[in-house]
Amino acid sequence: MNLNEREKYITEAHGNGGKLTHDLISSVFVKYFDNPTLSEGLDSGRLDILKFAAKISENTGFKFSGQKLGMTTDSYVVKPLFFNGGDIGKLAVTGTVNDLIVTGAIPVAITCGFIIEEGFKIETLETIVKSMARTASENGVFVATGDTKVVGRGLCDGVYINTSGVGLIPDGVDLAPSKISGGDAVIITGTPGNHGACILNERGGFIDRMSVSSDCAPLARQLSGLLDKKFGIKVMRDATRGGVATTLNEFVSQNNNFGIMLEEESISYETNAKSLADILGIDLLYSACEGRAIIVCPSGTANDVLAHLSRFDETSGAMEIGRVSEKNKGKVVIKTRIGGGRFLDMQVLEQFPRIC
Amino acid sequence: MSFNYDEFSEKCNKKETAKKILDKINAYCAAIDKASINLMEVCGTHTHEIFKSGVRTMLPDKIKLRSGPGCPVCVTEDSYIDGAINMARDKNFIITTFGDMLKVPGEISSLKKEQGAGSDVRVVYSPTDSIEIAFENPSKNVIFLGVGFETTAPAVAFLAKEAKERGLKNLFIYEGNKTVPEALKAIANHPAVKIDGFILPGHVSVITGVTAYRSPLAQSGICGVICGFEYIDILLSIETLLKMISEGRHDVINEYSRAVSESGNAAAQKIMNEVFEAHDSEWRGIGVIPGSGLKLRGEYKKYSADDNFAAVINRAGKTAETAHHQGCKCGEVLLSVIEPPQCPLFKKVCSPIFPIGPCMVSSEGTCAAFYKYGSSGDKIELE
Repeated sequence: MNLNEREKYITEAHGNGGKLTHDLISSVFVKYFDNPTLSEGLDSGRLDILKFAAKISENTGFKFSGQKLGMTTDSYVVKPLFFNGGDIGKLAVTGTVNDLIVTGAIPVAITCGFIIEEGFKIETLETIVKSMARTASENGVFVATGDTKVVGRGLCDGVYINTSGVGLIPDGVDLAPSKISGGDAVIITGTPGNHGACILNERGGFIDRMSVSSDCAPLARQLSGLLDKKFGIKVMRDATRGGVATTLNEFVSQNNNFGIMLEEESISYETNAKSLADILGIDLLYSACEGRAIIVCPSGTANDVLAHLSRFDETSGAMEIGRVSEKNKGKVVIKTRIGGGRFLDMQVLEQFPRIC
Repeated sequence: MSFNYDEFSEKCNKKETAKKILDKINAYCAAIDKASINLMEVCGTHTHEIFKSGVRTMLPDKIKLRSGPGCPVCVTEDSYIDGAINMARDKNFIITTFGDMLKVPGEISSLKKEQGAGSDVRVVYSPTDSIEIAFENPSKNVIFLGVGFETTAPAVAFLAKEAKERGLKNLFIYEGNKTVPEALKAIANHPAVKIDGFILPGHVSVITGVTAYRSPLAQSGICGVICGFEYIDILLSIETLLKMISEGRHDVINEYSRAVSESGNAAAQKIMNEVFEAHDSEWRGIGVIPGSGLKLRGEYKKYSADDNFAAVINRAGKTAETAHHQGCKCGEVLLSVIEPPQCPLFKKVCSPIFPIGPCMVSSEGTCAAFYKYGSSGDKIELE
């Protein structure tokens, strides 16, 4: 390999903190993530919270006198790195943005840490970083600080990304499973399980690659509007690993005064994902989503919530799939098409590893 | 032509159809003068669909759905798995297997544990994937674990034929395939089992045809219905069984006629007959059933792992009384003498994360189905 060739790949020297590290930071990370906080070039990004609060207030009308922060972190190790509907970069921003917004925090800034395998193509890294930058700016967040480490060949699978995020929680917003009560509506923002089905298909090559697409999508814009008091949202959560069934079980295990009753007939699936799942014997209710939130709200506002969500492409397929019930306390039950029932337990084993 | 299942469902109004069948089931059930009617499904996929569709919760209490030995991994005896582990531990061997076998604990270990400890154990999706592995590793003995019923046996037979045609000297089959009809006869005549009718497996029957069941079931005086995999199929099969029971008939009726023929798949039967011959086989929980296993015959015998590596496999203690894991009641579950929640280990020490017996390990297993669908005695309140 000649010198020029070598420059196209990540070497251990890119992670030693020296010249190549600085070159990589300026030629890839700062180039695409460019923002005033990052440009300060300090060891940590400094955030003027009041300024951000004022800006969000101006755009949304929310008040921030309480100055409550939401904070989250997540690591991304998906395989393959590029899939139909997204890539590890988009996923890394999406996951953190969604974790913030479902907690009621309007995302402000994220961090990103890269662990890169020696020999990884710099061009591929650039594609991933571009995708992160695009997803971030589309969702009103910026990368406030970052880190790069390089590990030897074979010690990681291409690239792993960690992102953390902070967001501001508007006054009066307090979402938690403890708020749910009998009769509340259970809404999902789109068809369940597409991301898991997509990754499975990418790995196994079962049907045409383009026919099953991930639902990977940040939902900050779509869900922030729902924080308005008039919707009376009780709790929201993004149904990632373990899928819809696992998320619902989390609700009733954290508040076991109630059960959740789903109606099989009310749940629609994306046709190709469903066909693939049926062939492979996989239940899409346990398959991961990366752009679907479960929302619990009073039955009286369910139609307003659905009307709000229908205005956006990513949530236009929102549907009410069941109700919170005084029966079957602490359990999730699904009423089947023929009127029978079955428990929908928490997922025990990973259906497929490294989906996110 | 593409088949749209949802469109089909809408057209035939499955919900209405299901209601009508359930009405008939209730009527037959009331007319049958028995305290309980025991129907056994002999296919893991049926067990799962029965739970998933909620069929169990719709039937009158009098009908007891029993799950039989319908999961090939579950009925594989410990000594077979121990033999596979013994070969896996030897550096001269590569084991190829369907994924379900990995986690099944034998007496000494599991293939998954051995894989973690450095053994070369590879999951394949088709038996013939072993051919390439054998070519790439000429200095190793590549052993395919031939486990499964009539649904996989033809593909294993095809592997033996391919090995012969390509002149492979390092590819072997560890014979563990079993056949269903003889086992049904053994279950029907087992003193601990009380069955009024069999819900017969759909996929196996595609290969065997209806004929294969006639004589075994006629001899035991129990009726059977070959059943498809939709809940409508299952309800219809239950109705048909109840009708026969009420009339005192012991026939075999083919409900799954869209896939199963009277004589079965001739090509699959031909290759099975060419490569295999029937022999006695041990089933976990049941014991040795005469003529219920498949062994390589004639010129294919040279591909038998059992014949070539008996010393490595060391299948000592291969009897029906093999001491299984203490307290594990998989044997009784397989015979449906008990239901999984009656096993003292169920959900307490035995779960899909730490499975003790094969009925919990295999995704098709009865214990796994009871665990997954949460039917550990809790009643679902629907209204």
